Amino acid sequence: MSAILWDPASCYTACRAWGSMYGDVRKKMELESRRGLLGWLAVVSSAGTFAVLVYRFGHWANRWRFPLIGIPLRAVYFLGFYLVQIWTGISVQAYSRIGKRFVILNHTCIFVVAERIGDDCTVCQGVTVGNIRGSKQLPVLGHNVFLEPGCKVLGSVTIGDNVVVRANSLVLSDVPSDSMAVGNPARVRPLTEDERAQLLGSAPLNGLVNGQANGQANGQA
Amino acid sequence: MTMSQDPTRDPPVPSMGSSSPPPALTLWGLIRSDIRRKQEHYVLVQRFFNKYVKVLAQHGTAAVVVYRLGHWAVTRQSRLARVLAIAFYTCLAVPVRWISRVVIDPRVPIGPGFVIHNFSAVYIDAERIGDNFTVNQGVTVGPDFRRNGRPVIGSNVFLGAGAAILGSVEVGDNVVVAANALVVKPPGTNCLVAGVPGMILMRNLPPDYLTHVPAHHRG
Repeated sequence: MSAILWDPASCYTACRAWGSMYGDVRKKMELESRRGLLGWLAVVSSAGTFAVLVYRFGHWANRWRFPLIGIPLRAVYFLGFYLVQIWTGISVQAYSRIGKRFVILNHTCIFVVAERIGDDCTVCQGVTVGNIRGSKQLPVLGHNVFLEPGCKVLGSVTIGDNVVVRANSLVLSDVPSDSMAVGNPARVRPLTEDERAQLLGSAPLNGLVNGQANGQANGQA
Repeated sequence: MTMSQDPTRDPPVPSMGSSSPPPALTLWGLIRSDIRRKQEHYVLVQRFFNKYVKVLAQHGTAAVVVYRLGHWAVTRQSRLARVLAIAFYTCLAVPVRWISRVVIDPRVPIGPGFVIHNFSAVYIDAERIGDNFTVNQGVTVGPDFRRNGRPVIGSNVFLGAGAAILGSVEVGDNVVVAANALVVKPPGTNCLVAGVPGMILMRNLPPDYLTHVPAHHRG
């Protein structure tokens, strides 16, 4: 009983929007290797989390068919959406269906409207996921897709599971599962076993979990 | 192992700022070196307005000054001083981050002469960065999707608009990264890198590569 009262993840079916937010914040804390109350505060007060919160609210508000509730909720959503756009430069439209643990790292120049985005997807600054102007075809992204800063995924593109799109790449054609897209226009190559493990493990920033990488990176031995 | 010790690479060329023990500049000295260097970049019109009003009013300058304050704050020895300084820095950093969209981790040590020319979508989180570091808009220096290491950047490095240096990459001295390039492999020193993924377009870059004005543009 207490778990249901206090653990938002277990309330997932009761209130999908807020349960998802719990996962989003946890995943972002994991990726930025933040811990404790201060880390939670830093993540919750960050622009990316705010944008995801407004997206979750908007997606939930769009499901209300009864106009007396739905219209005021959508009005509140659009206010929040435009404030987020102005303040943080993040535009994640409520139309797209985004899975659990969606993380926006950093802010500015992010435009995401997709048909479907799977679980565990991560978006960095400067990323565009959307239609080609004049067409209504939107991308479909699988689970565990990492979009590095500045990459663009445009048009009726299907991206499989466990995919990394490297920074500044332009993806205009389908990407199979377990692969990496790099280049402008993007060429696809399969992920190595090592890279796949690192992507799936969502290794925190600077490898605080695998301490060897951490020491090496910091020059501390 | 640093880039300059790797025998397969070009021999290191001593750069302007890389005299072996870097002079320990004060906070004010660092900020002054940044602003001086930015003032020098207005090579064509050296008027009072450009040199003082324009440089001091730019978003990039504000971001650099606030970063300097933040680095000074996190390197305080006494705990009380550190907490107070970080609190003061945060009060300045949050509005400046909102306005300029420049995010620089205050723990990154950056040498004197750090210039941000334009101001949006800049994210800098490196291991360490040398002197005379120049950044344009949309630049990302940080960990990649593996999140197991951050770049190390030498002196006199220029990053064009939208350039990204990701992962544990060692970039040597006197490197120019072209606009929208992605650097994921160590390019060595004295070179021009461009493309996604980055390729070396020119080695043995002349030191005046960026400031050189071709003959048909002179006078």
